Amino acid sequence: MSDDYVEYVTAALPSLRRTAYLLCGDVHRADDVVQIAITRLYQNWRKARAADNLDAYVRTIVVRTFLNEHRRSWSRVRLFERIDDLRTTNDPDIETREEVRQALSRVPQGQRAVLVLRFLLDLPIAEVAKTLGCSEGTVKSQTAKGLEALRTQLGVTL
Amino acid sequence: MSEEDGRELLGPLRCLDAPASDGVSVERAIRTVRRTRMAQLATVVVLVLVASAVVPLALRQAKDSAATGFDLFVRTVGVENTGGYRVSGYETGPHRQILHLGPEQPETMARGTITVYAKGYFDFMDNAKQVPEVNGRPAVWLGDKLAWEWADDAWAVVEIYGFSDAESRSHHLAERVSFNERVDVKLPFTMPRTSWTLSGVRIEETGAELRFTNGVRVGVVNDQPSVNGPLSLEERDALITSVRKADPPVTDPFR
Repeated sequence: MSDDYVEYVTAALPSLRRTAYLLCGDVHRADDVVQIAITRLYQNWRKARAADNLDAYVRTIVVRTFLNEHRRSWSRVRLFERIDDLRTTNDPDIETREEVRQALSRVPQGQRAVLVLRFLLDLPIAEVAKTLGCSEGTVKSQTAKGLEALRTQLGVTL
Repeated sequence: MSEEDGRELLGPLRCLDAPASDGVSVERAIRTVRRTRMAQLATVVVLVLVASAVVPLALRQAKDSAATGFDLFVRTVGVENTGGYRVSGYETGPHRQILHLGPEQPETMARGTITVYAKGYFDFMDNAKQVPEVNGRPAVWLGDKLAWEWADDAWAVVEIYGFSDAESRSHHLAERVSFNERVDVKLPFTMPRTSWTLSGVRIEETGAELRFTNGVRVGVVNDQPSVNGPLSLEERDALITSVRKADPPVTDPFR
């Protein structure tokens, strides 16, 4: 049972970590989310393997793990592993990216998930709704609220 | 707000990859699931063997199960209508939680503590004086503090200063202590991940700190980083520069 699971997860790991990192905005919390997600995947591997779209199935586990795991005790502490992580840079592109990343991390979790799935993973509204287990109308309203929150965080006015 | 708005605003993140780390392990995921399955199997076996003991256990009061230990990141103890006091801080630990009390009116000297111990972590002396029960539970006066059995074999202690009628005031306070608050502890700062074992959290009006079993304490006091304990100067400096305010900020760590 393990071989095809190992093969699939090893190949999918970069994309799963990127998705989790975009959602969490913190590499350590992202790693925690992915670790929990791939553990759940292994638990349900037979069912997952039979899914029509395995990538979508796994992505759903990652997103729902992110939304469900935010109350874990150590995630409240928001730890950094190395002090190096805190260094700053003078590169304007990197500074802009960092600014947007931090602004996104302050957007409420549900809205952030919608923004990441729609605008960074390029999923259609119907697919986002399926991933989050909500209606397409909710995705649209959460998108509008999320963008408004992001603009506020970035200090961008219409 | 349009589709283009979203793409434009988030554009800088489209090429963002997760930084390299070794925080995810496929082998660990497999091991975890296998261990869980083994544990589940063992649990089933144990449940079958001790089925007769399960019903009495299920009927025990919820607070009795809480009496066996405390989550370091959950405040379970609270007090209301304290009559002259207000909660000025609290500490969590694996075997006790402490509420620190300060004066409700700044001009008074009222202060004290309410310490709630887990089962088996508090013993009182033989010369304790029996006093009226606290909410139907046995209570004793220990000369300068009141102790009462808040759950089976688990005791809590009220100790107050600044008043001559300490015994009656202690009794009043003890009757207003609750043991099922379940409030998540909010830290107003972040610090680097370490391999140290956490022994407790202390939150006060002026700051907060994490306490570790190796004696190190890391926190913020009056918005300034504070690091104490057996560390080299380099370690201390590195920790002080890495302690950051929580983002978003924690405005009221008591809630």
